[in-house]
Amino acid sequence: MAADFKTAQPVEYYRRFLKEDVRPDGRELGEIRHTTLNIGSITTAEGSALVKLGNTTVICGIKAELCNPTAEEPKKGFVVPNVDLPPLCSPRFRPGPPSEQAQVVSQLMADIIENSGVVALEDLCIVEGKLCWVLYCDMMCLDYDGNVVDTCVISLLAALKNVLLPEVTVNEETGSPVTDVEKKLPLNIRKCPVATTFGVFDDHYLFTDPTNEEECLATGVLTVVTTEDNKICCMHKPGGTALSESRLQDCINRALTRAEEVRKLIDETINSVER
Amino acid sequence: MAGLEIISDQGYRIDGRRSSELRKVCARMGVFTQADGSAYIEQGNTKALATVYGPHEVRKGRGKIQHDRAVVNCQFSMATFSTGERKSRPKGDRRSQEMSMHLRQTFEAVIVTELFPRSQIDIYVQILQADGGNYCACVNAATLAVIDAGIPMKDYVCACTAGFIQDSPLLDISYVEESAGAPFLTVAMMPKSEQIVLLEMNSRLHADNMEKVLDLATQGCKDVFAVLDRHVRDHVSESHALMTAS
Amino acid sequence: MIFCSDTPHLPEVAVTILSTNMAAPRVCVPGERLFSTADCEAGPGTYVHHGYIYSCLAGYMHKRKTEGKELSIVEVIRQKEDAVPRIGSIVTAKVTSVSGRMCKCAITCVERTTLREPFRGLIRKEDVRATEKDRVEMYKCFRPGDIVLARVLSLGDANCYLLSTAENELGVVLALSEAGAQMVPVSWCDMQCPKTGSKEFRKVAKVQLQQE
Repeated sequence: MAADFKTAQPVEYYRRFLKEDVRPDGRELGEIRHTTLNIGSITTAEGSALVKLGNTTVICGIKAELCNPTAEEPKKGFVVPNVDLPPLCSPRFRPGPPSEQAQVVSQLMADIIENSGVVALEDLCIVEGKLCWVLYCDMMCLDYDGNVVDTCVISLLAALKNVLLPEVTVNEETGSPVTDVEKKLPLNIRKCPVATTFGVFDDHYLFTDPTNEEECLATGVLTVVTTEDNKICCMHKPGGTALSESRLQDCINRALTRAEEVRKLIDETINSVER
Repeated sequence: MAGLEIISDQGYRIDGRRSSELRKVCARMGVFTQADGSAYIEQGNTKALATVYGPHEVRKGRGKIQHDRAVVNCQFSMATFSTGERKSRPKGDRRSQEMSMHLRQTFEAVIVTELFPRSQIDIYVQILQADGGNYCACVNAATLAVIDAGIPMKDYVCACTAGFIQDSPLLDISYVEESAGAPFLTVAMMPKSEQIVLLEMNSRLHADNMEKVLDLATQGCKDVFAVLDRHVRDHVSESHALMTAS
Repeated sequence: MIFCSDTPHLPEVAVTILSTNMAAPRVCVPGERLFSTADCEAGPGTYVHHGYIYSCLAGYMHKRKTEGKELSIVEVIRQKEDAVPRIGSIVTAKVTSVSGRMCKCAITCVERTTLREPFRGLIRKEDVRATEKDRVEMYKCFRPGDIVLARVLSLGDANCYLLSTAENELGVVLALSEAGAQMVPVSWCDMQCPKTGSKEFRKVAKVQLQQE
């Protein structure tokens, strides 16, 4: 009969768990789901990563193309993120143009890339004013069980660390680029941003890493993105229940510890992959 | 790539296979939690995954409701990073729509739709890495996903390609062999009843050679069926063992 | 392989038949030929083609005898059950809107299976009660947000299943009062709020005490 109670009164059902300081899936309020990482499985992409945060699965593929830099910024290349939430990942997404949520997450990714300086755009420039790299980072959610932002950030970071770009020189006579497929160099990753999302319920309870059901019931959401020198590079709180300063500080501290764990996991996985 | 022999003198292809050898097939059912049924398949380097939702209420387009059967809706999509050149339009271009329509027609013939009047079954297929035989990988993945979802089907649907290069029929064409320009045939069939559900051919093939290539393709489908069947039986026994153990 | 080996998900509904009939159950897959129609009758999970019974699900084959029929029935059982409301089945629905002639609801469960996606249902004025059908006032029977037990009458015409609560055991099982507290049933036509003590009109279901 628990399943009936859950469908009939989901809020009440959830409240009863939170009173005992535990959540329906058995986690504590500050516990984050098990994270697994699989790097470099898509060979057609320059860099790829598949991340599973509990059940939420996101795959990120990075393709590099050559293009001309803009006149305003002749020394900078481009990094273009795109998040796709297709109908196959959850029944709540319908076929059609990208939903509002997908566009918001894409924009958030673009902000994180710019603010954190994960890749210096000057590194992507080959010939000033003439030739540069553009990195298309396409993140696709395969299974949506809440907290897609954190998963996307981890997959993006892991895929960027996996990218190998061929060396490009410009042929002086013809002026056209010559790609040397034999020599491949990894990207210079300056900073490693990691995101942690929190949910607020009933103006009172604060929990990390919400699942899909918890996201639907939460009254507010907060995402904190930190880099390794204990700097906060992005905070995203789209309305919802108000939070006091002390709670905000708790969230930031939790985000900092979580970010360390994730960075270690990514480095371990990369080192274990034979190239 | 001029001068690259598709078949070497000893009869080996570029990836080391013989002419009537299938690529290695790895499959996994029930990979996702949100979907009613899901499956992931790897045929050589081609990676495809399929998810099935349904049967559920028909949402968009009230006109689509059939009073005596379920509506099957398929969507085929290739990831932007799945091909050598970045695919700027993952879905919505003509080729994807054609593939979606083929998938829909294939599965409408096989799923017992009369059991679910006025509802809709969604099949979403995604290619993560394309290396030839995209449609076949999709069909095989979708079959496993529909079985995983528990939607009744008359039989499996297995698909395979066969081509005709340098005067010999080849089974399970990879992308390199496809781009060599030789004719190839895509066949989807129901292996137990040996009925062909879909047949598609590219380029020109002499009528005399047609029978050889078709036979090879149907044999390939039966080989694929053997692999998928084993996976399904293992999966059913595993989930039963888990259930009775708890 | 991209996906690491996950354990398959445990199904929600436990099928007791499987555990009692443990004589090496036979796994069958769609398209597998089971018996001819001369030996057995086709049950759920199978279909008939050219005089033979084939399986259409991947699961365990189960053969059972029923009284009154000479041939035993062959069926294929899977742990996870797909539910679509069928005529005569009891469903649990949540009322979404109430008007003078009918009330619309979202069907959340069919018998014991919870649906992933709700179907739409409709309860017409004449299907609320068995007696005094024309003197029914919809606002005194249902309010938006109530959970009701109903029986599927027919598939309806305009995309909604037609439901009926015209039995003693059908009707409102859970309702929140205007003050927001869960109400206690008083009689077949009203419920009382424990916080304020006021009574509100509903068509209440007579719930039998079940053994869990």
